Amino acid sequence: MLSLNNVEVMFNKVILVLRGVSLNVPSQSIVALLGGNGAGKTTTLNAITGLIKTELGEVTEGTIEFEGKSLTQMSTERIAQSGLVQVMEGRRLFAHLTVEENLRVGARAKREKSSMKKDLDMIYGYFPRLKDLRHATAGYCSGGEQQMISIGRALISHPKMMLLDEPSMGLSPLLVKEIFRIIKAIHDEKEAAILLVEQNAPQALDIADYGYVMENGRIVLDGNQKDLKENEDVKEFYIGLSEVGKKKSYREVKHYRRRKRWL
Amino acid sequence: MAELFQALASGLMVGSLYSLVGVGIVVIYKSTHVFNFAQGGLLMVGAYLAWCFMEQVGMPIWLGLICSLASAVVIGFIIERFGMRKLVGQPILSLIIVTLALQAFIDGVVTLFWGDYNYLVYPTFIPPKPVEFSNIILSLQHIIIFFITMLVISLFIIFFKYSKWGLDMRAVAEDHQAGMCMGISTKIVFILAWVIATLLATIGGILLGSINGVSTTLHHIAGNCFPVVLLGGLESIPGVLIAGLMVGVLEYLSGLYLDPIVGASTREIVPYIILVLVLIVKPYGLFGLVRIERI
Ligand SMILES: Nc1ncnc2c1ncn2[C@@H]1O[C@H](COP(=O)(O)OP(=O)(O)OP(=O)(O)O)[C@@H](O)[C@H]1O
Ligand SMILES: [Mg+2]
Repeated sequence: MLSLNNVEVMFNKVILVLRGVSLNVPSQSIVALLGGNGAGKTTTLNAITGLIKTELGEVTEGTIEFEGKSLTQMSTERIAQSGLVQVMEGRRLFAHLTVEENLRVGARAKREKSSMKKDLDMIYGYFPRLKDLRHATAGYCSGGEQQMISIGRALISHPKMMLLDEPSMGLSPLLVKEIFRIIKAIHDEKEAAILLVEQNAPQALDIADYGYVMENGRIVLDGNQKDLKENEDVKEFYIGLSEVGKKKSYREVKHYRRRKRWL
Repeated sequence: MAELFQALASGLMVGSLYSLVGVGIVVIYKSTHVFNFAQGGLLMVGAYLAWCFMEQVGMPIWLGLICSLASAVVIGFIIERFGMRKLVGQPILSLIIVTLALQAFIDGVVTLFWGDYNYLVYPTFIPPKPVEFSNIILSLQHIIIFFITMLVISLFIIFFKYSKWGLDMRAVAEDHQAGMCMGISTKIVFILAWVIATLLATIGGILLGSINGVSTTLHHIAGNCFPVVLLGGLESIPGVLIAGLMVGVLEYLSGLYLDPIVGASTREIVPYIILVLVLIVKPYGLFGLVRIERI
């Protein structure tokens, strides 16, 4: 459904950030895109929806196709209206608007007319908390509530595919679990494909069908859920993260792996 | 006593025009983050065009008014489409200087076409009759103008708060990228902002021209709109509304009470003195949006 083929992204015509990324999101699947800070995950999503153009970036090589149509020349708003909606990193709510107004803005990307009330109820079904908060100023909601608004805001347009950028960022383990449960439920019930960008690899791999691991602007590893979970490198990455004080960067893991291979 | 009421009435009338023109500045600032220094120029062009349509072309008053509003829409569109759009994402200083250049350009165009006429009057469309309440004499013109501006501002607020496009504008005002991700066209929002601002300036220009006559000094009213906008907090529409009325009234009151003491006209400096005093106490202006920062 969505396919990236050898995509290179350059900022300011000099800074090469993606160095040939290829990945594939089949329809009705959940695909995880994992990697450490600065790996290029967000840039990949921004390349898909064209947001890199607002940051003086461009796709210099490769192709990005959604349902067979090339996205590289399309405007971000057109891409959203064609059913591919990005939930940006860091929630990015319209802070001074109310919760419900935020959701109403999300509905601007709808492809077919449907009743606003029904759509709002659908969102409140997934996120009951938001119903109580619907007249509250979005900026004053808690982190978890804000994440719900930001997912709800994308979901309300009945997207064919959602690109979620680190939905677990800054949430407590319990809330992370809850958010992932809802993402899974949305996927199952709405039959929307999901590209899930995460640093929280174990959680993401729990619900994903397939995963890619990214580093330094490249895909360094991919495989289906089971293989990745078993993979020694990915495992070491988890441990590296869970051992407080002895944080291992993913890059070190990679060096170790490369050495093992080439020496 | 009668003098006080007359000063209040004139103050409210002038203040409402400040608010009207100021709302235009706020709308542009909110959605595009550009402070439009050319708002006074737009007001002047609107006033001259209305005169041109009614007197030079000889249209009936109603048609002249409609044509002026229509040309305001076209002017706003052209400025955004062929001027400001190219500059989206450029340093804020460039944008500000471009609006200053626009102001200079408008001054030039107006002088070129109408420079030979120095004081123009419209055919009267608001009767300059006095109205009397016991011993207080107010100008009917002033009262009508006050209500027209309040009506226009209310219509705009309703549009901004309850219409789909208004929602788009408020969303984009907060976050361009997130707005685009939700399928909102920022181009349309930017065009809307400039068109609305030009329309408001034109309405202000025509109303002002109908009492003061049309001349190149008209854009000085915008000189007072800048402190009004800052006083209101730059991003708040209720803020400019109240700040405009406040500055207008205080201006006339100082004219009434301070001038005899000082022995000179204090009107021109009053808005700035109020601005400085308020900003010392409230740096974001009276109704400036407080940044909501939460993680
Ligand atoms: N507009 C830009 N101009 C120049 N460099 C950029 C730009 N955007 C991103 N980069 C660089 O690209 C690299 C990848 O950034 P990106 O935001 O995609 O990482 P990420 O994988 O999302 O990281 P995180 O998990 O921290 O969000 C970083 O080194 C960053 O500095
Ligand atoms: Mg990121």
